[in-house]
Amino acid sequence: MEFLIVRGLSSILEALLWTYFIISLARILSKEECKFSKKQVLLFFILLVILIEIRIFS
Amino acid sequence: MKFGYLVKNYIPMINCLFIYPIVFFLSIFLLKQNTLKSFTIVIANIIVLIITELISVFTCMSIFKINSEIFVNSWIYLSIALVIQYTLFFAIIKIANMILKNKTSFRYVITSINKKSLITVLIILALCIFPQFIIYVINRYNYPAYFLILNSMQMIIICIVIFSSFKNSMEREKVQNDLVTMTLHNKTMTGMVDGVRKLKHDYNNIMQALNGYVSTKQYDKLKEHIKSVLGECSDINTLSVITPKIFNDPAIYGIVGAKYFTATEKDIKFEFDITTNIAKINFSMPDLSRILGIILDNAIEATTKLEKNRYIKLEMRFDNKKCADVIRVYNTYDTSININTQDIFKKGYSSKEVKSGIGLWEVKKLIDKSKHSQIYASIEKDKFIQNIIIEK
Repeated sequence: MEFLIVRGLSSILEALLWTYFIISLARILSKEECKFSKKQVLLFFILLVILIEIRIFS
Repeated sequence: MKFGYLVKNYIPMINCLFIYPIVFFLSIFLLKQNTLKSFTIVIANIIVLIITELISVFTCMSIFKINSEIFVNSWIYLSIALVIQYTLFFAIIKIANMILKNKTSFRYVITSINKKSLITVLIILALCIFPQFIIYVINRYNYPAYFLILNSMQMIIICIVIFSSFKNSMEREKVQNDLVTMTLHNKTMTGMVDGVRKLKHDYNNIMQALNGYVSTKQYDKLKEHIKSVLGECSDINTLSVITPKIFNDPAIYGIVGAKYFTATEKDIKFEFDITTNIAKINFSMPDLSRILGIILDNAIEATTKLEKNRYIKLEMRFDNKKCADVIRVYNTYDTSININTQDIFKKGYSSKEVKSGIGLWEVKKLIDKSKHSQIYASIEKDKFIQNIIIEK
């Protein structure tokens, strides 16, 4: 049970960090100012959580 | 049994292979990034995750003296490793955001890194870190935990000391470069102030002289006198253009300022028409400053051959139709010299008595390095013009 809780929280945290990292890197790599809307960021985060949580092959 | 072993130890990798292509397509279609940037983002993400995971797992196994099987099967050790991993990941993101906030100064730092001091720093770091790494690997985690912690703290302190001394030496270099820019700016400001003070001092005398010409109706001489006074005013106006605000790249500012003062010493009238944002020109600034230096040197040399009517003009503007920055250098020259505007960029071509003919050939080489810029020469009436077009 604890294992599942840890796994669930870690997926959310991992998705949050991935989103933050990818957004920051996208802004660094673009020459001009790159702005993302809240909807884009939220959707990206939710999709990442789902992707990381699926873990089809475990 | 064998299949279970396979699933347990190798199949989890397929999760990663499944996730990353989807992240790649998400960043293209959702975040609207191009293919190359999305690919770079995904690769950078993988590398950072691998490095942070290795560090966190290794640290955990070293501190608690456990092997990989115990580690994988215990949620406590997994949680601790995850905390370490996410802390490292967060630190890396923070550094990335710091770089983002100071993008221009970070680019300046990268371009101005002294290779010798960088190599020295890397050698010192390698000498500190490499023996530690070998000992950790060979010793198979038989260190007492406190030894490992103390050793890690020592390494962190050494890294901080090395990087802060490296940062200080780079800041010192930047301050020295800024000092050169400020010295030049001070020179132009002093010239301006002296000019204005001189005009203010002579104001009464100038007005009385003009009044004399008006009252005696000698309008031709009045015209000439006003022309000479206006000439002094235009010199002051020209100096007001040579500021770091308009020439907002230190290299270009340095070169143009230096050439201006060289030209004025030789009694050359130097005009400016700057309407573009120089820092945003799509060209390497060090190369552009070299090109301008060579072209302005040639212009000064050509116009100095004339006894009177020595004139140079530097024009930098943005052409909306061509969507390009246009840089033009006009100069008067001895029209008896026949100049072939096609051949002047060839090696060895020179109109000078002591021939060298390398300057414009080098300029052509620097321009041809970039696919979106071109240079050509033209002659209009008594002026020779060098035209550089740099597309956005």
